[in-house]
Amino acid sequence: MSDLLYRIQFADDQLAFKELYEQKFLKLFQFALAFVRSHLIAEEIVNDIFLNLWRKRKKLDSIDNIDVYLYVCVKNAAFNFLRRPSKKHISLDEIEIEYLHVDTDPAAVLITTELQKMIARAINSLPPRCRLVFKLIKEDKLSYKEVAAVLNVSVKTVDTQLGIALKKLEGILSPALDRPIATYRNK
Amino acid sequence: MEKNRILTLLARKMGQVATSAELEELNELLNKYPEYHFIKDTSESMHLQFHPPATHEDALVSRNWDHLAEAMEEPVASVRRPVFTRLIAGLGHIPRVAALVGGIALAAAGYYWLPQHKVSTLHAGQLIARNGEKVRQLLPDSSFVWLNAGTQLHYNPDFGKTSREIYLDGEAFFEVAPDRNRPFLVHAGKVTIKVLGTSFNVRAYAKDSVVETTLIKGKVEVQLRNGHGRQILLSPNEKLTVSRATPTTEAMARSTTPVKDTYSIQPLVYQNDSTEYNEVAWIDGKLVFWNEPFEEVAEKMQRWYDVRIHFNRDDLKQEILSGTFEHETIDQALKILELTTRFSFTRNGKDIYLQ
Repeated sequence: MSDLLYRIQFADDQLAFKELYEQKFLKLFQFALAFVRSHLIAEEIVNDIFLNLWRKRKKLDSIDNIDVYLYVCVKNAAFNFLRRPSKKHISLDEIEIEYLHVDTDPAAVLITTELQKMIARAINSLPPRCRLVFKLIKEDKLSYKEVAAVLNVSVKTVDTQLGIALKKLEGILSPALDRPIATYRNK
Repeated sequence: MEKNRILTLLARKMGQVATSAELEELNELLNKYPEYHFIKDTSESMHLQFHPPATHEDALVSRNWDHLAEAMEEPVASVRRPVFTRLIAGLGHIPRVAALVGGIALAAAGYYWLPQHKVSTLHAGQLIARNGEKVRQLLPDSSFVWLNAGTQLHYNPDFGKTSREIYLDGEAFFEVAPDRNRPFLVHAGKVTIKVLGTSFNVRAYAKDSVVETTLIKGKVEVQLRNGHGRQILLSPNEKLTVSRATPTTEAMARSTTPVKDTYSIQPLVYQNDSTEYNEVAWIDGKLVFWNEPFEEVAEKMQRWYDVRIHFNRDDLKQEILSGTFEHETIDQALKILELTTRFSFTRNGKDIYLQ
């Protein structure tokens, strides 16, 4: 990663930039999508950010954490897009987050369609901040500190939110264990 | 409770902050409560996506990379066409709407494109997409608009503050930011479209005899200029076509009461295996035509490729064509059409002659 950034900054290496883009695009696109809920706009936002990054590549080494930086850019752009022109700020609580699709891996656990639907419903009933934290930690593999920086909350909050998500999951999955509608493979 | 402890440790593991001692503790607890293996495995192996599972991810990335690579080629201070609007806070501030840039583009391009338009006083907001290009822009109210080739759009000077009114000649796709106090109005020739917050496509080239409004999301109300104030409500995935009413008898032509425009509403259909409706395929860079006479297809191609097509054979104009062009050059596109239709073409710069 730092090798890529070095090549971009000091060698104007477009191939390195393309590699960076290909690594990050989908996660950032989804993050934008969570807020703006439109594919086209999410694509615009992410591309705009990368374009700017390319144009300011000479200052790349001033960025502490490229992931946090990019996610924050996306968040700011998305929020800016969503707020009414008359208001200066919009907060996360005012935004309706996009539906989170849940997909279970049959190679890891065998789950009935019914249970999968229940899991999806449960996760989408979580408060927006909770859903975002869960997604960013679990799927995007950001660390506690990174998520805290991106969402502008404390690390403790991230921990708590993640706990709430898992507890919710437990609520759905535990009863399933008593009934023969779910099996899993012993690893 | 020990079961709660499992969840706490699981969270810490996911967040990459668990110490090795904590990981050991987790394993011990899992052995004690083996049913929690299920919960652990499920939570660790499931996938969470904000986009639907059917999304073709590779195509999505490569298509967007192509757009970006194109934009990277443009010199920064280009006034040739409006560039992306800067949305990023904290990285320098660039005006949210390149209105001035659009104005300059009009002055430069106006004389060879849409010759019937006078270059009069420039309005506060003007967007132009010349033949051969498409433009994406953010409006002052945070609505998004895409302009297809050969399109001109302007909006009132205090757009977003007192009202939101758009004047359109060409084709545009709108993603309208909700604002109950200021309905979004699009004046496009014979129709006025009123929107509250939605996504829709309007096709209203001055040269065409029809205006098409395609609704993707939300609700719009379309008012016909010559329909005696009739209002039509469109629901998602419907298309409204308004045809220019041509007087059919001399009496009608001489009559002083305005002739009504006719309209029809159709549900949108997916053609072939396409993943989007034909009406909005242009946003994804596809030129689509379906059972259309060559004359009309030529019209589309002229705007899309920025060429002039001359028919040396009249009968060719009525040939019915269907097809999709995405990455083809004009020459490749014409060669493809040659395969199924009997004609040949010669090209001299921007002029193409069909026989």
